[in-house]
Amino acid sequence: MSARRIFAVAKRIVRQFAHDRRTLALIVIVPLLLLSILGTLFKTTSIFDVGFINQDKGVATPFGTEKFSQQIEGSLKDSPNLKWHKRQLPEAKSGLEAGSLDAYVALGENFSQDILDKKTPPVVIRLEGSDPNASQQVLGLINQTLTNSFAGAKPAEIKIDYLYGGEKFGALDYFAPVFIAFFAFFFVFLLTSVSFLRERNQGTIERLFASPVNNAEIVFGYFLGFLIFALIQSLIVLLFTIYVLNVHFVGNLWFILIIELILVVGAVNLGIFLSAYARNELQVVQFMPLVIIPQALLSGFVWPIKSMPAILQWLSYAMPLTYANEALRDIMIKGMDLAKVSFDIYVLSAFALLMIFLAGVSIRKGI
Amino acid sequence: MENIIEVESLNKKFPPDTHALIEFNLQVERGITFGLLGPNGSGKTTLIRILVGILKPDLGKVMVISPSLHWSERAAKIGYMTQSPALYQDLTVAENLDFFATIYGLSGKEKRKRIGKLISLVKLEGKENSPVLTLSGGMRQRVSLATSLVHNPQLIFLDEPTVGIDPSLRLEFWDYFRSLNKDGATIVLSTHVMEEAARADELALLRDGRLLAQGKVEKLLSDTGTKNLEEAFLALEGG
Repeated sequence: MSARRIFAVAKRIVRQFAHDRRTLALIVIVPLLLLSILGTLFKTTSIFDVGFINQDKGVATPFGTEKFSQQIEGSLKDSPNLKWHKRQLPEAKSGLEAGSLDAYVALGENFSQDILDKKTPPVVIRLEGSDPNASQQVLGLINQTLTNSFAGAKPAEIKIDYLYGGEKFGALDYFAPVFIAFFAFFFVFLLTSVSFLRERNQGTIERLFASPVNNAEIVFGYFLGFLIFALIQSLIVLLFTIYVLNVHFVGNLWFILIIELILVVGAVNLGIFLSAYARNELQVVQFMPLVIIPQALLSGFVWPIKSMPAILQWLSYAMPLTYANEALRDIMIKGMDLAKVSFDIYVLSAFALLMIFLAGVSIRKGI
Repeated sequence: MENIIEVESLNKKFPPDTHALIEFNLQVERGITFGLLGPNGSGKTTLIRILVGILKPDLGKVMVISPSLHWSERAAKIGYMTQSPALYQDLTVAENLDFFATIYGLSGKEKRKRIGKLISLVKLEGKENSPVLTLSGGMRQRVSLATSLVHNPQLIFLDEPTVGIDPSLRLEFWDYFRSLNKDGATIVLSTHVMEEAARADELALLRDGRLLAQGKVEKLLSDTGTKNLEEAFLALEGG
């Protein structure tokens, strides 16, 4: 193998992208744009408006009419996510229909009497219900508030502690590591497969095969050329998430770049391998639903793998991004070192080796 | 004179049932310009691709330059210009030449000198920094020729090299081919144009993957009793 020829191939790829400013911008600007949107979305908290209807008639006592429900009514406190509105039932019903309320809680006429009779008084919670996700959230918040109200005094002092992360850790902190892996994998795969397809269609690959360059030199040259862009992209994404989006980061930057490097080897070779099965750039784009979307859905990107059905879990564990995500989260959130993510590194390396083999056997396909 | 190419009983079939070359025999002497003449689909490009080492024959013996060479040493001595210009469209003329020169082992001053010489040979002075994408078809053909000659190869395969090139430049190319021959290089070029083929020192006439005849133009004409190559081709085809 000749280092000079490997560098010549890598330099050529760098030059090609240097001429292609639009693609260069795409590699950097698109991840930042998407991260900004997601960062804003994750930081936006939903506020739910909930009506409170107290129809309790109370019970007669020697001191007059007593309403136990007033104790609850008095203890209802607004939280950052929940705003209480005292309403009459017809008013609450129309509010729910008009969308000014997300739910209402109604205490019945016999609320106090039931408590006196040691019966459980019915509490009606009516939800707007068109968005199941919002319904779950509002129900959780109502339950939390009502439980506190019914309990009356604080039961005990609760101390909260975190093994990883902390109070300030938000959803974005959890998602940021996977974006680094996802963008690197996505762009390197896409750009390699398109570049290699062009080599085939423009006949330059035929010229290369007629030269002293061997398959390994082509593969290494491609890997080196794309690695430069992938690392620059990752660094920009990382700095952006840390300094602009204020994502919490406790890991070692070099460890992140090492995981990235192994992932890029896999992505470059997967691109070379699959480009052998595409005749034009449109067909390369058609590989996206096959290669990228399942990994975005199943690699623990959004949904935790543990909560998936068994069959999807198997699929998840067959995907390289799953291991890259796991390793990067462990490094960035938990501050782990490479030894502690060695299993992920082994699997990612095995994937990279398999892709090198497949790229090697398919590189001359169709020549 | 010693042969630089020897081909014996060469067969190549493409699935499902295209017989590109059938029991093909050929000998090419060192230091000449050798023409492969035949219509489209006669097997010229397949033969060239086997001789440059990018296609494997199904059957038969092939010797190119020397039987004892490792493939990469042989590849370093061969220049290859494909039928349609095989260039990186988004790179400039100089960057394309620089890339091919580097993978063939040229560096530094020698590389720059060689690139300069070839740019002036193909009359592209002033276009060094133009992306190939912006050039006309004829210009791209000239860049493609330059990239195949950049490493000063001993054996040069040119697949339809003068298509799309104006007649005066075509004549200059032929003069350059002659000077390369004088320096000891061998040129194998394919064409389907009879008058171009007539300029070659020796010719192989191909039809449907078979060799109809091989020899100097005068010999082919006298053997067939014809006045020009077209008639000779028809006579051989009929016979």
